[in-house]
Amino acid sequence: MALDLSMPVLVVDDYKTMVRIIRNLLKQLGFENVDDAADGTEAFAKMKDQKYGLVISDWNMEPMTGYELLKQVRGDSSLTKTPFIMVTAESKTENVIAAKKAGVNNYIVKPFNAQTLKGKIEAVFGE
Amino acid sequence: MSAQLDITRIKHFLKREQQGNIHLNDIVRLAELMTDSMLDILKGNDQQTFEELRKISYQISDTKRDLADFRADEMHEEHIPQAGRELDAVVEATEGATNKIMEAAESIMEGDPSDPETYSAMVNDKVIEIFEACSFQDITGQRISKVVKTLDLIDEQIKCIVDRMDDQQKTVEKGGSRPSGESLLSDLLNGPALKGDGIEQDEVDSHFP
Repeated sequence: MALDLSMPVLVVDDYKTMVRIIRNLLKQLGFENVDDAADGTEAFAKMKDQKYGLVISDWNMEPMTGYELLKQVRGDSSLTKTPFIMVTAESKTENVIAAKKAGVNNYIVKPFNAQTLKGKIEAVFGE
Repeated sequence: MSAQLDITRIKHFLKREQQGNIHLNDIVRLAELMTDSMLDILKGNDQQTFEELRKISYQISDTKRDLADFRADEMHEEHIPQAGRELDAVVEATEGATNKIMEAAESIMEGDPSDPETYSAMVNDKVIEIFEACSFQDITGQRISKVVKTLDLIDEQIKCIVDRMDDQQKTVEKGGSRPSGESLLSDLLNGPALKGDGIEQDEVDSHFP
């Protein structure tokens, strides 16, 4: 998978400030096409409508968490290969293991910096 | 049970409990013992007084059970200190973020614009630092939500006790319907960890070689 800066990226977080921060960091990294959703349900609906090259999702959201979104995405044949990075304050080992088992491509613990976000996106795309 | 024996039990209770803190539970237990001891004395004398006293005795027993269900020790030793630690972490994170934002803003103000290229790169770096620092809002928001959940739990439990005291009929129906703190926080939804509780990014990375 090559990293294409023009690919659509979906940021999923229920905190508008966090969405704005990630959007701005992605913009600084050169991503031009960034969309957002406030929880897993909205994100999944958007993913069914449009193909995204990368999903960056929070874990702790209602009604559908990022973890549930990840499982739904991996269970849907049309979306199953979408690269998925979890960006969350959930920093227990069991969370990381559960997310990995569910098929997450990488995991970032909040608070994080631009360098970490860049590094994980590059790692997912094998850069 | 004779009156003499009950007085002996009360004396024994007071002697046994005289060391350490006296809790509300202890006072309720004492009231229960005293009421029980009076029941025997009054039983033979005045049936109406006896019935009234018996009702009081049942109410005290219910209150005692409610207090046990309230899990005051759990609140005192676990939930409330945890809420305090969360609020301390909020103060710390807010202070740290404010300092980072102010330092970045000061660097921009003090920058030398005579070299536009260097100045622009520096401003860019500082703006990213400001974005990063602003993420405190998400983390502190989640911590405050955890504190609010603790307050809700206390509120629900107190309401439960008040309801039961208010209407003895409801007591039986409401038994066992106490809210559980554990059920509110399911295993994988712990929110931000306190210092030393969670794992660092390096450890997370070891799972993604």
